[in-house]
Amino acid sequence: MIRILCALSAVVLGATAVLAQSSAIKERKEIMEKFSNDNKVMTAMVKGEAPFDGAKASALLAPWEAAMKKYVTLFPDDSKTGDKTRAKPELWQKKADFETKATEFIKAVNDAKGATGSADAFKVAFANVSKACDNCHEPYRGPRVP
Amino acid sequence: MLRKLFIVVVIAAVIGGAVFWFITRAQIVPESALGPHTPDLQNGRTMFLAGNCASCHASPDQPDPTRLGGGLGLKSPFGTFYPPNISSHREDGIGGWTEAQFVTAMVNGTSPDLWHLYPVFPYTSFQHMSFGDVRDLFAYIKTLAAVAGVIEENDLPIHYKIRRTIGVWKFLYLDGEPFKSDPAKSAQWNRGAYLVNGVAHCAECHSPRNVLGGIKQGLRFAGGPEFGGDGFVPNITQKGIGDWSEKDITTLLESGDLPDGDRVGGEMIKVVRNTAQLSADDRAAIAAYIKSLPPIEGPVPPERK
Repeated sequence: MIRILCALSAVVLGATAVLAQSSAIKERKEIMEKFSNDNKVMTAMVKGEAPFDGAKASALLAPWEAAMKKYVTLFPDDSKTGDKTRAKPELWQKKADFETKATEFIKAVNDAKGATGSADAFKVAFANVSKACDNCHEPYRGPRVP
Repeated sequence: MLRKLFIVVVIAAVIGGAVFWFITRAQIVPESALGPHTPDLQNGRTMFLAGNCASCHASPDQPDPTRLGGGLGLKSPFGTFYPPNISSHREDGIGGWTEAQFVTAMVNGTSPDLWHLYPVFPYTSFQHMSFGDVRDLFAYIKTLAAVAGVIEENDLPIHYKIRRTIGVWKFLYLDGEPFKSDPAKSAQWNRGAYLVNGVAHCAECHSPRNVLGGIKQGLRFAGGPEFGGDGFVPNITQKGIGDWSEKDITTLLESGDLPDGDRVGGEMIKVVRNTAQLSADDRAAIAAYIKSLPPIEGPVPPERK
């Protein structure tokens, strides 16, 4: 009986670990997908393909800081592979740098939030957000997984 | 009888050796082939950006793309290459080179001491550049900072260090043809074709390669496994990006934004930092040409977990 219980709990533990791992990757993807969708809307404004709407940009950017703060916590050691993750092993080797880059991203986002008053100011500020995206993607995100 | 056979073998070996020696000889552009030229530094900068020179030759771990000290490790199936110092430093860089030596390196893949350069330096594309553009590029690079330091030797197995054999590779893959414009197409398309196939060397990453490392010509631009990495480079023929507009392509080249709102990834991040600084006309020309590439089914990406 004890044996069965032990075996059962091992299975449950194992399954929980797998779930935790894939849920971290899943949450990462959801956050990035949200950024991506918002980015599309704001990029259109910046490029003049859509009318500039500062209030809308402000509203879109509002949850970005909290999302990024959550995002950096979603890289436990057991989430290095699986679910077609594009995270590169370097991210875990240089966690501190990864977190610094995330902080820089948050700063750029806040600057952009403060610049939604004018289309020209927002254009400049939002370009810095894009740069902050790339500064982290370049070392830590691998190519698209087909 | 044996004697006769021996003589035949010797003659065959001599002829074979002579043919090998002939086809693997280092070819150069002599000083006399270059007429008078007044360098256009602005155009040189355009070539520098379009050629993405800094992505491989800038000193790693520092932010300035015009410090061309070299040394970034480029992994490949053949070993790791360390791009040399191409800064204006007289001894360590190319500040002491003549114009003809620079043109020779770019279009013939031959170094000033007459060694074959490895094709990781994409002279297979640069050979299609006009001498004028190459000379402007040289003039521009000479205005950039002199960076001291000689880069360590490439990390290659011994048999790849026999540079003479690269002559065979060149014989197979270097056609020496200058760019020919197509009078049936627009000036914009021709400018795009010239940039894409020449200095910008897009096909060098966006095409699959054979075991010798040569581009599979029929699959040019059709994407394939990343050479020296585990990624997969996208197919940029209409098979791959048929649903993109020319505007989508210029947007990517200008800001790094993809049509779906994501940002461009991998090595292309570095490329976009350069193409972002090109003129809008040049980006539009590149887009017009890329958009005209007929659909080609490329290699199938591996299923990944």
